[in-house]
Amino acid sequence: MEVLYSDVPSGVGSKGRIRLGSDDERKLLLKGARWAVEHGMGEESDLEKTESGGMIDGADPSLISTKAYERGRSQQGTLGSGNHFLEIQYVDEIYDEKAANSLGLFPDQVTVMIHTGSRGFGHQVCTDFLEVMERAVGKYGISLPDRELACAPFSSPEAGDYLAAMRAAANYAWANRQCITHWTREAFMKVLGRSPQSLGMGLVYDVAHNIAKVEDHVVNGKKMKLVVHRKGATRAFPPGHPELPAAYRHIGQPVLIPGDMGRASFVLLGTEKAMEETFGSTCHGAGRVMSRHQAIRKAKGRAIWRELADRGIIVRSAGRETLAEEMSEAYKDISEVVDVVHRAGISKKVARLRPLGVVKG
Amino acid sequence: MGIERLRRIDETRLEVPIDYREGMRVHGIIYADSVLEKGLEVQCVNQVANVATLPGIVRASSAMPDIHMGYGFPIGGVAAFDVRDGIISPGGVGYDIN
Amino acid sequence: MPTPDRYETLDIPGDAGIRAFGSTLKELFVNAATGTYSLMTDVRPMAERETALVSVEGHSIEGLLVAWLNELVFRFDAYGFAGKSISIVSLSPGDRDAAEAEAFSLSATVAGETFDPRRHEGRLLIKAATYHNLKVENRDGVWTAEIIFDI
Repeated sequence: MEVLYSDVPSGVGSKGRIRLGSDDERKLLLKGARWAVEHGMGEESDLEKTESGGMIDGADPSLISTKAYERGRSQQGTLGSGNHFLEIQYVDEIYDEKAANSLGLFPDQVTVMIHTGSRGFGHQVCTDFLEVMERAVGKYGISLPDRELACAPFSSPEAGDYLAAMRAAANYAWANRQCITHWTREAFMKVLGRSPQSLGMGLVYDVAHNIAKVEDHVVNGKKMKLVVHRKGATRAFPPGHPELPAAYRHIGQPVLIPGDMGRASFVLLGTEKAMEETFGSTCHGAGRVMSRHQAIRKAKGRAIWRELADRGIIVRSAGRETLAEEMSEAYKDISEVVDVVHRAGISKKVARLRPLGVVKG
Repeated sequence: MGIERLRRIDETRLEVPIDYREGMRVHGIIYADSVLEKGLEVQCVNQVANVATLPGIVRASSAMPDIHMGYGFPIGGVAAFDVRDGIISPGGVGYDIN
Repeated sequence: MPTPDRYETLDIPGDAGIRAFGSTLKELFVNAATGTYSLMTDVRPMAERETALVSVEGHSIEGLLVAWLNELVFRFDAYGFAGKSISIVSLSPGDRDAAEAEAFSLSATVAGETFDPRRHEGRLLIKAATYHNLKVENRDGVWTAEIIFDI
């Protein structure tokens, strides 16, 4: 845990181990996780098991503001803060043995889950384009019930620019997780003295949860091209879908559900029913039930780290109040959330993972 | 508007009826059982309904059981728009891209 | 009526926010900035080593406030720059015409230093100041602003 904590930068104001020149940053925005693999951080097989191959086409680095470049420069390969985390977990329950087998998961196996995104780079892209869209709403005469829904017609130049900038941010996020995956493998190698291959540290899957994608769907028996917005929702494509890696095509797309630091995370699979009902989407995580102050008040006088340690979970966190804010009680029970999507049939449970060690920002 | 306007479709789904608010083009669907329904906030339901008013939206404005309030669009929301006459919105993706 | 404390934090599920006060708009913008920094770090032990000149524009007083705070969030996130002492050089239009004007601008000097995670306390990672439930108003001669941040 100590090695992971020092090798994977996390927390407010942390700087990455990578310094990007502007040429490098532009290349990274086009190539996503592939950029990291080409720089020796990861394997070709990682890309096969990443949504969109870790590199979505149509990103345009020329549409990125100087501010986004500046924020992105030192944050590549950093975990961030808030609900983002890196966890060492173990498989504590298997619900679907055949599927688990295809994913390479078995009982008591040690796994690692990485939950982070495009960091300040993506935040700046969103901020920049909310301004653009604010103007577009007036220009195209769109009437909105809430100005926060600011948008532009898909065929407009503003929409095209946002899509291309958002794709660049998506690629930044895939590169980010790829770098962190690589350092995680290195940390295990340092401590255990064995290669990642011999430890079986292959990637199970890497999936986005805040993205808009142009996809083909069938609505009322008609094939349509749609722009699907998933915000805190995960793609969950069914068996046989052409976007799935060959190894998983017969079982469906793996869905990773990062839980809170005390309870559990889940691995699910996409289904045909998700395709029919939710454009091939399912849940993402647990959702907060408590505000930060409520959580901090509730945690007053308690040592959250010790409560977790008593349950065999080691936590390392940079922020003084992060642990209180992020304690389990601040979130909906992940098991209930996952049970609902499982019973609804928009994804199905394969495995439950319990945390052993948590790195939080 | 109001939580009492929601209609239970089945054990895991609630419908936000198309007349929940003015201007909805499709209905809303929230995945929640009777337990999660109790914790559902009206502002989240309103956000699901607001998204349903956007041009070109197809089938439904959906929300997952982990729904919570977001910037304009709820977090845990899924919405799809026809590329021919629909829109794209940064609020539908959020700050934490990917 | 006495001016209340310079700012207070708001308790919102999932997000963070501040309510700032000021007897003038300039004071309000300074206090909103101080409040924003207080969410990110503790500036009290920091020194005034560098000074940044910040200029922003907006189409409304609310828009100007969001642009101002987002500029400070950007400088903190990109360069780690945290401001300890803020002074507004110019803010136009002034208090009287704020309601009707369409073009707003502000320039300020911000003195502070670069955040160092080994020496300074990291609090929340703020992604942006938002328009969500944004309020800027003058009641009985006291300016009040409420800003919610995405974190």
